Amino acid sequence: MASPAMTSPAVAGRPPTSGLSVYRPPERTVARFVGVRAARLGAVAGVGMGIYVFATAAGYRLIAPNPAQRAQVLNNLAASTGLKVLLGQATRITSAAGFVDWRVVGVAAIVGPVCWLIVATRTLRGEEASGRWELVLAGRTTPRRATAAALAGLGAGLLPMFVAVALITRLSDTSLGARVGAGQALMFSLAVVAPAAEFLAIGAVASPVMPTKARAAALAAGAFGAAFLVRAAGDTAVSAHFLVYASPLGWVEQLHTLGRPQIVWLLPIGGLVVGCIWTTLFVAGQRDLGSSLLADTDAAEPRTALLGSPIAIAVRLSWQATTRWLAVVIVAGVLYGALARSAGQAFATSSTLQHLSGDLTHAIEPDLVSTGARAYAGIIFLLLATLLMAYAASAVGTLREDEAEGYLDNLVVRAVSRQRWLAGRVALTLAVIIVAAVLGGIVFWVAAAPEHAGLGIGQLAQAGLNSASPAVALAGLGVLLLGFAPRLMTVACWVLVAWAFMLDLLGAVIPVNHWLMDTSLLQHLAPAPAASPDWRVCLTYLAIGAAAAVAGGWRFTRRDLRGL
Amino acid sequence: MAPVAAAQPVRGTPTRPETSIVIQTRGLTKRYRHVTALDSLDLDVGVGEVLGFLGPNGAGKTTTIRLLLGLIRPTAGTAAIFGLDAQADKVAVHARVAYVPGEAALWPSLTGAETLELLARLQGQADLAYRNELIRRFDLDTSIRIRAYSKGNRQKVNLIAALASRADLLVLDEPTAGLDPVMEQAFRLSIREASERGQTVFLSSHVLSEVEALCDRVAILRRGRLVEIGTLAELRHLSALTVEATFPGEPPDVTGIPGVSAVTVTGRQLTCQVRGPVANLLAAVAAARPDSLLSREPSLEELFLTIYGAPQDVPAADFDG
Repeated sequence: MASPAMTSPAVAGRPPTSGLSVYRPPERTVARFVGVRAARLGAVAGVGMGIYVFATAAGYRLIAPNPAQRAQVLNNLAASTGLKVLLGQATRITSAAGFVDWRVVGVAAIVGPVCWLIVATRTLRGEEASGRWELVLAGRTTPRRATAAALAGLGAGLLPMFVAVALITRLSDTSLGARVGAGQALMFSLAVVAPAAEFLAIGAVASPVMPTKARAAALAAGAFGAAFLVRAAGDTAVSAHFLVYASPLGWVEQLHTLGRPQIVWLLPIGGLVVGCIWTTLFVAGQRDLGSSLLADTDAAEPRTALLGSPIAIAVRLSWQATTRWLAVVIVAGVLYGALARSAGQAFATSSTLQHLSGDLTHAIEPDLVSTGARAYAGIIFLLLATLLMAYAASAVGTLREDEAEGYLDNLVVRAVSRQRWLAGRVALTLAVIIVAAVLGGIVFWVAAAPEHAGLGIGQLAQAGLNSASPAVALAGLGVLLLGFAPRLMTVACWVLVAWAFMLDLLGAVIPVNHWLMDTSLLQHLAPAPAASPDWRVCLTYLAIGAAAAVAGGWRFTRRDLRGL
Repeated sequence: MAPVAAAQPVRGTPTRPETSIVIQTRGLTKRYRHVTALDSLDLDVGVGEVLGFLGPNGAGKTTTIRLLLGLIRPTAGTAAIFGLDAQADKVAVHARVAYVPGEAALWPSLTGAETLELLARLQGQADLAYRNELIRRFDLDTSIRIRAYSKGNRQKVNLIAALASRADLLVLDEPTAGLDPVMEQAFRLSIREASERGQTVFLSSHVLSEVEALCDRVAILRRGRLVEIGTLAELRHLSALTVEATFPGEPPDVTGIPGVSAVTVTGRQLTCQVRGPVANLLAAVAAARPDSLLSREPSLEELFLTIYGAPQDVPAADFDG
């Protein structure tokens, strides 16, 4: 853990011993060790969100040339079902402050929970599964005190995020068109950080429930998915609006900190966090080290299926994770497909939006609802493309993990070549991407068809395939990094995904330098089915992916295998 | 363990490989930026030989093994196994090699039986009857998942997989780490069986008694350089003979006798070491009429400590007698 720091010359209750260094209590070391790492992420996230606040505020005036047109565009945005699903109910977005509040908190309620639930499960379950936690607990501490220290460290990691967002919001008040006081900036920053805090706490609770960090993260991610769906259903269906109040994300949405603050919603948020922390600490004091509430049986009859080759074992070991990804695609397809007609109507009535998103709707057809539905589907399939990129980043990340953890050694010291292993794993990743992409299109069609949204299955399947191409390129780039910079690979892949997603969000609201936009893997993708898939662009993505994979594979077969 | 039939049984009766040299390295070197992990290693290991590969932590033992297996690439030099280039012909080489790493990274969700089956299929061959015998010998419950195994049991899985493959060459990197003394005996028995079958064994170990008991020759690595290689008998000549004598009165002064060192007098007991001719020492001791006299050859542990206790910058040749 962190280098120990000297404190008082003696431990309480014990006489000072000559020549014996006395260290801080282990809990402080744990909190500091965890806190420093969490604070790095918090600082990066805070600056990123702060820039997003500034960019959104600065871009507000650029949405339309005059206030009347701007109000029309914004009212149409507020009425968009798809955006309600994604970012929540927009209120008072005809003011810069309200607009920023809606967009930034909406995005923070997606990105923050995902990042911090992973951090929480990695810290609490991951450290225990690796055996390092055992070393901590062998010291002068108890499981409950050490867990409390780790939670304190994780919580401290949110502080830089909170401070950065508050500071940049305060400095952006000119762009926001209204005086934003320090108190209001702090409240707004609290709303940005709140979803992260909620799911950090939920991740902490999930950690002792599952035996591995991946499964604990999946459990917490399931809770996030449920909270998102409940909030989205409450925001889109008038008759079910009460559902918003049943979701931790809905509580955050209700804060409206840059409009008319409803600070009463901090109570359930705080209650959730405190409740989760209390539960985590209670369970930490009750259970055995290494145990989990939902444990697998440690003994089993041997099942020898899918043990015959490297690719077979990869299928066997990854099918659960793959199934989870496909389930996310299916659920999202059903959800967004069912909203296609109502979203299409909103798009069809928005002439300004049509103008703004001309590339989405240039194929004007007599049936405006159908055209609107295509425009909406175009946005949703861009989200599918982001999701597929996230899968690609995750899948190629496991290649590096297998190398770093030493699993690959078991294969390549036998009659398995590195080429064969890599080619098999990449092929498996590509197959899942293609299946998920086509499945996403088909499921969207199945959900949209009863609503008569005017979208064909072939059209949507093609749109799915179109969405797969950035993920294929990313997988290839991942292999390139695996070959040349293996230790950077996982982080770099996720940065590429986050970068593309952020630019996509920013570019939809404010003018962004086209050179900058061109660095996004999503930028060049035709927004099918709103526009026809540009197969030349798709082929370019494939060519980039293939060239990168070949170069990376070439290097991978010639370099040293490297550990962590 | 339930019988498994998917892996192919060992192909015919193991025969001695065509070439007499199984492992041959020439100038094998690995540098990591400014650190030389292995420096110009020249090594030959013959067919059916059990070679002990010794060295302290960081001496380059694992680096050597990873170079032989093609997991890392040499900065300079070559390594050949069964006459094939260890880098260019990795897959062909690996078909005849079984490897036991020092720390097993096995798949946590698989059971022991599933892991053995997987490793056998990847290896391409396994003697199933012998595998079952090894499972009994090492007292391994193969129905348990890897994540629930202790470190020693995980190591047993690796050992059983390697031994049951009947590979022509066994490369073992600290194979008994985590094994209890009873299992260590089972391991020694298994290695003797492998040796009797004509399999070659490359054994990197810190357990000197194990090396002493099993190995035909011993190679000692120090700071990436091979400092000694030979049979134990040959190596013993490199070290001093230990002499212990007890006298009725005060022990004689032997400090000035050529070749005598490390003289210790405790009461009436004299302990010293002698290199080269012992006649002068014996004459001095005999003149004092000792009650008892004991001389013994150095153990491998003493040899090892002699070599590692020497100044760091002394070249290998300085250890020769």
